[in-house]
Amino acid sequence: MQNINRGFSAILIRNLKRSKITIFATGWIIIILILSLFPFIFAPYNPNATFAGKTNMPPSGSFIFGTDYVGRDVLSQIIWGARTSFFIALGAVIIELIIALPIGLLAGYFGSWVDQLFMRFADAILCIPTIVLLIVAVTLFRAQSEISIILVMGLVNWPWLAKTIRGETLRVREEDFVIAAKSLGFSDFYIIRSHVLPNIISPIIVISTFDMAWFILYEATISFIGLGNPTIPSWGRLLYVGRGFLATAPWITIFPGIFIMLTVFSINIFGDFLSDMLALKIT
Amino acid sequence: MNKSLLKNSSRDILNVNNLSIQYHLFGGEIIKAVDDVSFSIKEGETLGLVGESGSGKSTLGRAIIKLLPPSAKIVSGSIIFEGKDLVIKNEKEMRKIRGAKISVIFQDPSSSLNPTIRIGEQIAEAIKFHKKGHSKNEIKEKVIDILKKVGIYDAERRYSNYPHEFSIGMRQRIVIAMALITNPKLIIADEPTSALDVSTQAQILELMKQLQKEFNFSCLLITHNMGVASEMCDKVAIMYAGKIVEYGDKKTIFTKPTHPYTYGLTKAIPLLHEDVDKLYIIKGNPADLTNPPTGCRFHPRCDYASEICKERSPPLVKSKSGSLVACFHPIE
Repeated sequence: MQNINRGFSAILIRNLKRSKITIFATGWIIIILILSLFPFIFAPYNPNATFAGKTNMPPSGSFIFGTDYVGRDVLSQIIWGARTSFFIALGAVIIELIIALPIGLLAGYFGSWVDQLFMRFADAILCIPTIVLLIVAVTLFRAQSEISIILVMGLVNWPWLAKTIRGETLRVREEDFVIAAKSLGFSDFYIIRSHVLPNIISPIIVISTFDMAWFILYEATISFIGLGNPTIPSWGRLLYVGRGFLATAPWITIFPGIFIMLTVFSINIFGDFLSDMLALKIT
Repeated sequence: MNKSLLKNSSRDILNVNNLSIQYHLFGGEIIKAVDDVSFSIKEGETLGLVGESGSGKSTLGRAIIKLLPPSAKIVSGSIIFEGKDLVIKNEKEMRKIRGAKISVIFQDPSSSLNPTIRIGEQIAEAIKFHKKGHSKNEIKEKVIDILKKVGIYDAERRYSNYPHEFSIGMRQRIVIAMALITNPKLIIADEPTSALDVSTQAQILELMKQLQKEFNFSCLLITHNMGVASEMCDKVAIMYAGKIVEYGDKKTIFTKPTHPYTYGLTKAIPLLHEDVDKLYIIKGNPADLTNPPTGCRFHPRCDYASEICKERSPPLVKSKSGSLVACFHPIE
């Protein structure tokens, strides 16, 4: 009784304390979030400012992570790159949710031909290889490559999420409380919104979190092969400019590499933690 | 054929006439889950629909609010509620009746409440949906009032608790509150106490009786428990394999059963004041409804069966005890 009244956030914090790795992952995500929201506070220099005569400088007091081959500060680029990665990932997840939520809910709730129509459409979308479409899109729209990446990732990856939402909806649809809601004369739309959606929100949150990690990697991949917008600092762009100097100036690639790795790792750990906690909340 | 019990009267809240429901299975098989069933419920009366698993009693309950699974179809008959046939009503018209005039109490309160919604809000949903124009405070007052009536202590505080914070018995009280909040004319209680332990069962049944006096609703009580039926009902209909085999006043059915199946059921009730070594059992298994027995569906299990039972289906006629019975060889 006491336990229940303490509220979900209290349980969350108590369980968080039990695992050091989860504390680290959560902390790291918070750091990246703060950096991406306020890069102008934390970045020591303008990320695109070049310092003449200070190319490929190793880490030092004035350039903590060194400089790249045109003399740009690596740390400032990483901090502004966090914003690029985070906003691209968030944008893609939002687009994915906008498409997948109604399709998954309607297909799962109504079944029959609605289900067939939406799911066969989803199967057709799944045939498109994400990375190839990404390359095509950013090549065609180089100047708006971030928007292209967001749109393509959202438009191509929604079927996975939609299929999960459909499956969960199918499960909840057969629950007694949905039948009870029908027996009280509620409309289908109301039942979907108030009785089905709240009961499937946990897997949606967890999958969206994991997808964000994927989208950060995709963005880095596109920038790494040199198809990102060259005027916007990103972690992938650093890898791209640094790959020619792996032997002479490894700091250009190592530090953004560490950031990508830790961020993707932290998001996955955090996603696992979330799914455990949300499962706990329901039972 | 004497149909005095089946005759429609003006005080009837519900008349089910010659209703047949079939399930169409994937392989093309047809299950006659409910076959030519008729009964009626008067205002404030409780009718018990008693039968074993698969006898069609729950299908019948679902059919009244037209919430049958997609594979089930009403093939013939009518369901007259307040003078109007529900069979021909469309989904939109049915929604105005469900929850407002006919409510359902489900079997398992641990799954019939949404775990993500506070119980007060969950009870309030039905008024918000069916009786528009109440202010938030009015609705909350109504909900707290009904929570008190179904015996939830400290209702003001419990209003904002989630279902998992209640015991099973308390949850069933909340389910009852949900069904009653709109003051419906008819309650369909589908095995309302089967998921509860015996002492809680008695409390819930007592509560339902008391609420029925206060709210004056009619009740269709679906149960497999003869004890529950004898406790709660005014009239009882015994179903076997989709058909009503005996139908009459509770007292007649329990004291002078005339159908061999009813007789078997009453004999199978363990009695505390008699020393019995072995309970009476009805031999055989429930009828396979994809391929029901010819004639009387009970004949393969019946001690009294003769040739005619295999050939013809017995009509529901008045027996000597006063109930209606579908049998060629009623017990006297």
